[in-house]
Amino acid sequence: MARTVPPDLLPGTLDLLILRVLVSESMHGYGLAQRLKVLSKDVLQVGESSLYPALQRLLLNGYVDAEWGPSDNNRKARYYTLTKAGRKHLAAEKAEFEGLVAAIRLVLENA
Amino acid sequence: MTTFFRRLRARLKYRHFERDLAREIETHRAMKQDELEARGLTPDQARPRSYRALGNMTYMREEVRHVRLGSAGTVADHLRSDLLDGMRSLRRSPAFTTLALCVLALGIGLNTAIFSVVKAVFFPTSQAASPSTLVYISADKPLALRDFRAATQTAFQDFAKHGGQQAELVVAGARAARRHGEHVSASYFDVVGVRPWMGRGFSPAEDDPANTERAVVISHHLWAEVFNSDVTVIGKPARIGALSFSVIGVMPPAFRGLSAPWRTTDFWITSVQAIPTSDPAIIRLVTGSSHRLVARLQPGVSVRQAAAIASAISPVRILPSTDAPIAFAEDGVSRTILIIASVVMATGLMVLLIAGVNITGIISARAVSRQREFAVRQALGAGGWRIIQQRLLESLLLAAGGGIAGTGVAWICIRLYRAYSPAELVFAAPLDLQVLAYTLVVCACTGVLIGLAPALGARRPELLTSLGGGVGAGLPRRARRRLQYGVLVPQILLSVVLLMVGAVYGMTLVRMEFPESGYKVDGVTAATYTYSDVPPPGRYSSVDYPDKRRTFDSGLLNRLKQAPGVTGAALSSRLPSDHMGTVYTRWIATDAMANVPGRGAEGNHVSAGYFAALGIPLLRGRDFDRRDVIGAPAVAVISESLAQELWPDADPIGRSFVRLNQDGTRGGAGYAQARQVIGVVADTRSPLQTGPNRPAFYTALWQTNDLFGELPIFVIASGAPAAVMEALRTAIESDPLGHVLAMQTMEETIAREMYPFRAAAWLLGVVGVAGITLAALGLYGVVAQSVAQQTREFGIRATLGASRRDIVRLVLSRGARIAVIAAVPGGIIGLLCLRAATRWADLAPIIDPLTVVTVLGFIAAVVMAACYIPARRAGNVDPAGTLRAE
Repeated sequence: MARTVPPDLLPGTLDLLILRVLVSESMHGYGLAQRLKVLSKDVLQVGESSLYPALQRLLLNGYVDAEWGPSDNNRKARYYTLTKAGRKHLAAEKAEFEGLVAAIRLVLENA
Repeated sequence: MTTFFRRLRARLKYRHFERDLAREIETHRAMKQDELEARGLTPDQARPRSYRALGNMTYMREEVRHVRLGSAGTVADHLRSDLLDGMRSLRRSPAFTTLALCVLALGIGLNTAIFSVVKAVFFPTSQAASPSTLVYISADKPLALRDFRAATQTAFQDFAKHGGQQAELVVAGARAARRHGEHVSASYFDVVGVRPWMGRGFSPAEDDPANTERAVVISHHLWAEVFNSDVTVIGKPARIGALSFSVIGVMPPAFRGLSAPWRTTDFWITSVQAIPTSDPAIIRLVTGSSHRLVARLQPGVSVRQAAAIASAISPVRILPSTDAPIAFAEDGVSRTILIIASVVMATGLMVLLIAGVNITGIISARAVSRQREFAVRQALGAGGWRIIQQRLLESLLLAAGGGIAGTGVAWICIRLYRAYSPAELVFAAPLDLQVLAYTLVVCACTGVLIGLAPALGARRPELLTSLGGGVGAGLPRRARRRLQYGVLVPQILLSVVLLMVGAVYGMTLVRMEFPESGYKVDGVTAATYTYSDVPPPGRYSSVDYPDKRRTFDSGLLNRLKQAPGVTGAALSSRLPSDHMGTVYTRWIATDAMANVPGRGAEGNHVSAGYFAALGIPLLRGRDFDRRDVIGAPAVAVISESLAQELWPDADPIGRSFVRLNQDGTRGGAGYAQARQVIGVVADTRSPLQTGPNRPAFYTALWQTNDLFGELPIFVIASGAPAAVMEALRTAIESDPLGHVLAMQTMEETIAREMYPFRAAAWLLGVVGVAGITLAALGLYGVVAQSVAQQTREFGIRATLGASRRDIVRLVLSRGARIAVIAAVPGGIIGLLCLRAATRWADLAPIIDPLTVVTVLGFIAAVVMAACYIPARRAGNVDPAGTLRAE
């Protein structure tokens, strides 16, 4: 079943996912949404009303940079690139997230 | 910190976020459409579906905006956008902005200027190094300094004496100029802690009376002006009075001496070398003397500790030098100047209040037309406080602009004050940091005040009426009237108070210029002079100085009386016009049973012929004459009012009076001893005295030795000023030891004494006129606006048969109602202020009904004129045209 994020996602997770997707290459908003959908096997459908605020948040924190450039079919699109600070943030968030998931799993399996 | 800069960078880099977002969303949608088309939909089908897929655009945009505003820097963002809004709104109405800025600049500028001058007078920046450890010492009795110093070594490091003198300083090749100099002790510069800029300060040798090498230290200003900045000035001669000095040092440019702030000291000489009779070991610090004793505290000793140590030795008072108003309260001027200064300060603030209320009025009027704007904003969810914030920011912006322009205005005001004031009342009033801080506070308060009232009014606009009606729809009628009254009444009221007080004072001063003074002013000239006896080496003074001085003085009087054009001549220790700085002593009849203290009387030592020279009528008994010398019975001439006070029902001639001391005892040595009354003269008044006549008594100059020291003696001569001045100079300087210090006609003396009062009256008048002008403009605006809004009503009235006159009268009566509501209490407050002022004996106003009525008439005329122009327009309304237009 497809889900939209948020509200069900843990807070901050969308940011984490976006950063992770941007590790390999710069991407525009639409591409990001598509990629998230594909990667999550259609489970995560990120709506624009969550995606763009999240991107804005990341921009303002300096975790990503944005630049206008031509898209594959020659539209002017805004490409987001991971910054050094973003990479650091990703590592930290990832570690935290994994810790959290491990903890949840521990509770679920051993309770 | 890096986080902060990262965010700041991002904020600056992506500042066009709304635009970028819109484009980005459009791209996003277009890509969605591409995708849909790729799946086989036609563009016409794909397009609407892509829009639908986007969902609620507005919601998303708000979300993004929320992210932006909700993250770090919310307040700053609000502030920034409000600031931009404010500037935009001010720029949109340049006429309003310019008017408001001008009004504020005047108000704030005047206040800044007044404050800087008042501050310079009352809180002068100390000229001394580390002023907190410098104290003034004053005492009622002469102080034996040598003993005092020895006994208070634990409290004070060192002492120095200084006192002012006006003297002519002559340098070869330069014009003789009257300068303010000081007689100091050699330790002066060391105690004050200021080193000369060139040359040296005084050494103990200059305190040695045997030393015939006289030395003078000059100010940087004098060096530049009289010595033409001569770098080889050290050792050059300068003549002061009869004596020749050589320049040993030049002080740094910033050092102006320690006397009152309006005096720049131009030279310093040691008292020993200036007045050979003075003994450096004895310090006269009797109140009223121009000499002061400064001392440097020992390290770690507080003023209080020093006072405790010193008062155990001798009854002295210790005053911190930083406490300037107290320090020169001894000069006796502070009370009067304090009164003037507070009146002037209050006036300045009143102007600002009028200006502020005026702008509030304009802002409120604008608020009525901006009602729709605010209503729309509020409907869109802007909080009430947010709107107040915006309004406040706008008015603070205005105030800031007014403050910047006002600083310029203040600078001009200070320039004008410096250009049009007598030289000795001009002193440095720099726009320093403290003054600018004051301006800042004034600006902030003004901004808040002019913004708050209209902002609070705008917070609860009646949404429906405002949104529903056109631009013309404003506040409900009652609220509008309340607003108009709230704005106009205080302005007119304050203007009435200012104008009335200013006019009554002005008229009082005009009358005082030719006061019923009881003495002649026309054709009387007074001079001060020195008679310098060169003491034999090794002596402080020649023993026979007082005798020599008396010989010189009587010779001087004889020479004067014989001079052509001189009709009368006399000596006195004080001029009759001078009452500031007078010491009042309480006297009591020796035959009085109980110690009933009188009002206190001012004393004057005069020579024979004083009353005749000044035309003061001798009512009973006799004038002083050759009999009244040292050794003869102590005598006095008293004024009519003192006679009345001491012996209400008896002939005073032949009776005696004596000083009533603080502790209830009577008499004492010298001045305080019992004196027999030989004559009664009419009362005199000083030019500023409007209260009851003040008791006075006169003692014979020849009967005292006390005076021949440091206090100047005036020689007064009557006759045509030109001839008299010539005669005075010749008579004084025909003896090589005599020298003129200063010379002035009584008229000049009085004008100088009146200056602060005259300036204050002018200020009140100018400010009052400015205030009523502002108020009239405001009234005009309000009446004109209401006429414009009621064109229809007038049209109907005219149709129904109202004549042009009726309509004009209707409008005029509305203006008049505001004017009466404001002017009546204004007049009452003004009169109450004046009534309260009559308690001050020194400058009690004479309230004459004519002036009061004239002021009220003037205000009525201005108010009516302001209403008449719009009233005429209302009268000219074309009934048919108006109704058609509706």
